[in-house]
Amino acid sequence: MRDGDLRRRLLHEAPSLAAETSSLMSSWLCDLTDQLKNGGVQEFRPKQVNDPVWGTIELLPWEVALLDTPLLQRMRGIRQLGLAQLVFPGASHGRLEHIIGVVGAVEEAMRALGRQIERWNRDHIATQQIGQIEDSDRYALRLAALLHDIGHGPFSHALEPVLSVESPLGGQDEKSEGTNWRRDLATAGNVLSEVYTLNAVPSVSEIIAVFFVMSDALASVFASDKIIRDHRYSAEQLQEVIAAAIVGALAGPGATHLSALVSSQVDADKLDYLSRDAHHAGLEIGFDTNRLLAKLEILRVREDNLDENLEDLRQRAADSPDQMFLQLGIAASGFGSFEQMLIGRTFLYDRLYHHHKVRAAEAMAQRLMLVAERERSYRFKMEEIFLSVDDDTMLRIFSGEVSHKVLSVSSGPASSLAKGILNRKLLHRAFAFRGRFIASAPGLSDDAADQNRRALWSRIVKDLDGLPSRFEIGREIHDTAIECCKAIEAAGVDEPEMGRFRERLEVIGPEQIIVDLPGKKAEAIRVLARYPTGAIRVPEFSFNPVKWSDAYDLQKRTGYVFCPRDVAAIVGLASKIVFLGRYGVTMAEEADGYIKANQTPQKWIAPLVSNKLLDDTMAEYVTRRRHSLVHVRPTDLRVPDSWLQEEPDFAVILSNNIQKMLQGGLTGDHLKALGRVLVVLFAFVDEWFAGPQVSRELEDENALQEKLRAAFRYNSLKVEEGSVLGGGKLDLAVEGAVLVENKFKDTAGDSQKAFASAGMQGRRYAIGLGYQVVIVVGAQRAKAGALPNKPGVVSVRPIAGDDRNRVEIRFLLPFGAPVPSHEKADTAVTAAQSVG
Amino acid sequence: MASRYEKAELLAALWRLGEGNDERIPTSHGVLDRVLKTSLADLPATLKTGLTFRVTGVGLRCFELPDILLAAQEAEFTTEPNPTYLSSMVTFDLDSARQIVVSHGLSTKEAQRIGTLLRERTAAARKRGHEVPDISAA
Repeated sequence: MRDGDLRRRLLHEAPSLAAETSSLMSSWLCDLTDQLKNGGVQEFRPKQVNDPVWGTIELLPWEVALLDTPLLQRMRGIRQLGLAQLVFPGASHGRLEHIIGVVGAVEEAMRALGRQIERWNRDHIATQQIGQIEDSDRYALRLAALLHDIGHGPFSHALEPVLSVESPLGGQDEKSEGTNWRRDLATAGNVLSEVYTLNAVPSVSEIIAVFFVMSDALASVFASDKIIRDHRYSAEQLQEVIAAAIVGALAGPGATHLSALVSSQVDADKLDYLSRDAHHAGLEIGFDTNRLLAKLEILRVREDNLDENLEDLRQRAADSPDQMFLQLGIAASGFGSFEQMLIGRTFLYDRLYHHHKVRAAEAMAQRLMLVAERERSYRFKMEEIFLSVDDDTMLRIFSGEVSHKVLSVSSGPASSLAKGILNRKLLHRAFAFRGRFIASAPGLSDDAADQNRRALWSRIVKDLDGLPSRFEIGREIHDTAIECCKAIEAAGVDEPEMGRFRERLEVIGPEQIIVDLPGKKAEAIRVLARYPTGAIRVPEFSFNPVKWSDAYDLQKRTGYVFCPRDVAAIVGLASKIVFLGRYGVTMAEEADGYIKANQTPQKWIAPLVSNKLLDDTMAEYVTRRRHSLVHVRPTDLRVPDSWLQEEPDFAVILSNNIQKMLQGGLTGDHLKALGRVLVVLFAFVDEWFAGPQVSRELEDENALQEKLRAAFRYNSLKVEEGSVLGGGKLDLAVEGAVLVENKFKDTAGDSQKAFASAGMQGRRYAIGLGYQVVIVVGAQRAKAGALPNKPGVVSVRPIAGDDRNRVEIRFLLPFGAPVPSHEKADTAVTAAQSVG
Repeated sequence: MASRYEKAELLAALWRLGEGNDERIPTSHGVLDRVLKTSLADLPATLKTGLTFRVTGVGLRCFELPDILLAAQEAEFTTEPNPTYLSSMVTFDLDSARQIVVSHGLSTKEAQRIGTLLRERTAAARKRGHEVPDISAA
């Protein structure tokens, strides 16, 4: 690639993003660029600033020139730790402080590397020397440090969903102009990934920062002799060097072996923010920064000093000029400090970034922006997001306290959330969930209980992997809470309290019910180490600290349903109902220690049952018994071996289809009952196919039911007849758990459409655990031609209507099949009968 | 495209159904990255679509694999990688693993073939490597 090619390609392939960022940069740098144009530029002098982490940091004149513009001054008001200062009052440092700190960290790292290079060159022959860091590289990296975070907007990471192409809460026109630059973000990410072939796709804030760096306005500043006096790099080259450092490029336009100092696993960014965040939060977490800096090395990577396992790197070395490439790494003796850094960061996540109150505040900030955007029906423009105001002013704009000519919002729910943050009326924990908290189902062995718990947990984490589903669950909890209030109020129980809950819930809407499960960016070791023998390899010994960090984090990770404190009691109850209905889980008592709500009063439960919001079993599960449901597994269905020989995956498919409809699963008792019922029905089908029934006539529905009843009773199963539960006279309630309906059709035809799905009239609860399975045994006149095999008579379908947690298993049995020699005549008879 | 959880559950289930002596799935050192790359032709679309392989600063890596392995751990498809944090155990029993592969459109038999292939190639990759001395205190 020639100089400037990257910029031209980015501008060509992501024109909307380029236009938006260019416009912003022009306005931020206009004073400076005007001065440059008019020749009236002031003289910028170096500055020394005091810093709590690095001591005195010297800023060079051109850095001061950029620092004293809205481009960087706007970062002063963006807090480095978002809303963590609401919990850790000292942690209110701005991103500008961190940015200056990274300049200091880069300078310290380059000094440390300079010493290492000196040592290396002293001890090695001329052909193995490493070049000292040139001033031009030093200046470029310092500029990269100064500009590395300019892609961040308000509230730091809480902003990220607002930048995605699809609005997580929906309601926006995806063809609007606010969508084009968002689409360009993905395109630009792919371009950068293609260009920087050894790197992954950069983060969104890095992509935006690269576009700011590539702007004309900044190019004109870089090109000016009056600001930057070292011009070994042209303006275009400098833009590329800075862009490469921001994405931590290992190869590609502008990349050098020093680019990783700004962005990599051991970079100036981390060295600064870990110490700074811990310092301001008042957390005593030690980082051995000095030793880590002292152990940074420029590695001369050759085919013959690379670990044999690293075949691809060996090839890269062999293909490089002089059969060698330089890469930032560490000495093996610095690995202890490296581990300390990774482990310290884990503690910071646990105690600071993922503190439950910090999470509540961040979730509120994220929600208010999404809601405000949804309510005005068009996406935020880039200039609205990158408004040059501080985080608090942004909140005051959303709250309606102040207006801004650029950002126009008017949303009651967003305003309420913003005021909540401003006045530190943060949402509370109404419900806590973790994989480890999931209560067991009774009657399972330890292994089976563990398998079941994991199966249920995996459904939760999969479902919560995205804001739209989290919002949807929050809405369901909100609606359920209102229904509960109405039912309890109508029963005359705690009327004033329920009235207050209901009115408050109607005012706050679903927007203030936030289901939150913190994510974690996956990491892996991405640095090479030089061993005392001179060998270079990935520094993983008997222990991988990155994986340890994942394990620590995940063990302590707890999901919460947040809501305003004054409705926490009813939202907690509604959350239990929704989690049981949707996922089949109740949380063990251990989870109660993570919320600040009292136990649900028993007097609230009876009205929910009498109003058919819950059935008795469900009521027991959400209050006293704390049992989870059981995920249906192939062996639970007790499919005969002879059927599995015919179709080996039949039981697996059947169990999957049943589970899909049930969502949560079945109670342990009902699952066992289902197994007993199915054993009889599989035998019934065996007998049906083995005997003459397939070709014999069947009189009517009553005749079929008679056979079924006999089969159940013969196997000593408890059968209640003519149950009103199913709303049909010919239902059988078997083992108090499974409804069996039978159907009859005297005409041949499409077996899939033979009968309508079973209905649940008369037995329907909003959420119930009784009679979740309806088995329809149908008999239909067989079509001429091949009969289905035995597994082919069984199908699974939803219950008619929108009835979650219930399933219909259908056995469709053929009768009156034409005997081959009489097929033609029989078909004619059937057709005649049908017409008649 | 399948989510990271779907990819994670399918990878773990394939591994569980495969036959081989070493039951531990590698989570470190780029071992699994290399195995997935060499097995791409055999992997089901759900798993392989969207995987990116590059020679990074530490050798060949699949950029999406750390996310997938973390998802596996989050959803408890695998154990936390104690005690070495270099590999972990798949927690699925055979029935659970079968339910997953079948839900992704594979037969148990095909999944067993792919799982065995992954395990064999992993064993070969591990064999090529060698023990790393513990010199972290050096």
